[in-house]
Amino acid sequence: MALDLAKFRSWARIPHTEDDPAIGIAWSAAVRELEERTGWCVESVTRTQWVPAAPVTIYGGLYLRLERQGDVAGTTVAYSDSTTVPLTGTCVKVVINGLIYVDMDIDNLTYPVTLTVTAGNAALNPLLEMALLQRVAHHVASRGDDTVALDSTYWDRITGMMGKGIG
Amino acid sequence: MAGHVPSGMLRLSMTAQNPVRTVDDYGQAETSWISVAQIACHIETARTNEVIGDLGVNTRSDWRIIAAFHPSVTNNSRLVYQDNGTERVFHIRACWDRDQKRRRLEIEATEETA
Repeated sequence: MALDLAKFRSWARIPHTEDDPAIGIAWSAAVRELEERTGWCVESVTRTQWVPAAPVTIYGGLYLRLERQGDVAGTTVAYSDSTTVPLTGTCVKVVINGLIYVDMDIDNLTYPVTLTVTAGNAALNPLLEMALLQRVAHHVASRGDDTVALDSTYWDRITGMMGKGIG
Repeated sequence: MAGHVPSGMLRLSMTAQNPVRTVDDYGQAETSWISVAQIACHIETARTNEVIGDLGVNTRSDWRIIAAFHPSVTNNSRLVYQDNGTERVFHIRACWDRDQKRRRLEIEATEETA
């Protein structure tokens, strides 16, 4: 989900376009902050995930939870193992309790394995989307004001509210 | 003060209008109003006075309004508010951006009562 300026302006009750560059900066920061805090990717990003050893069997399979979560359709995961000529391929995705896992039951795979995860571009959960808009509104409201500290507990409270489905 | 008004308090959506003056057939200036923006407002205080007008005693209401900043809203503008079907017009006498952050406008307005 890319930044929808009109949507944000409506949300934050900003009737003019003069803040648009600042809103863009705040949006990028909030999106990145969400990813760092929760693993939830709003816009499409490519990240690597290091898998030192085979996952333990859960839900009856060698399922590994992805550190980066996005919508399922927009997520691709490629594996590459540690042999001299790496064994590479694409992992099979499994969704359990709203989270994306990959099936690591792959023949002749030698650990450690590097996963290249492309996640995001999601149709966002409406609650998460609202939380993101609100966070951007905080950033925009406090911009350039060094007397306002960033609320570091914001995403902790939001993820507490979400319960599950967030990394 | 203005910096401390969260946007959640700006609950009234008013139409900001600016004057357009044209000259009519007799050479007189005619004022019409063109809407420039919907801005979110919060009415802070109101004060009503009795004043002496042409036809005797009148009432006049002064309002203090906090609004979302809009660059086109000036001392010449007016705000129109649809209050449950009644159109109310607030003439802006003064407006300023107190913290110079282009975030809020503090407005002193006088309500027009027909």
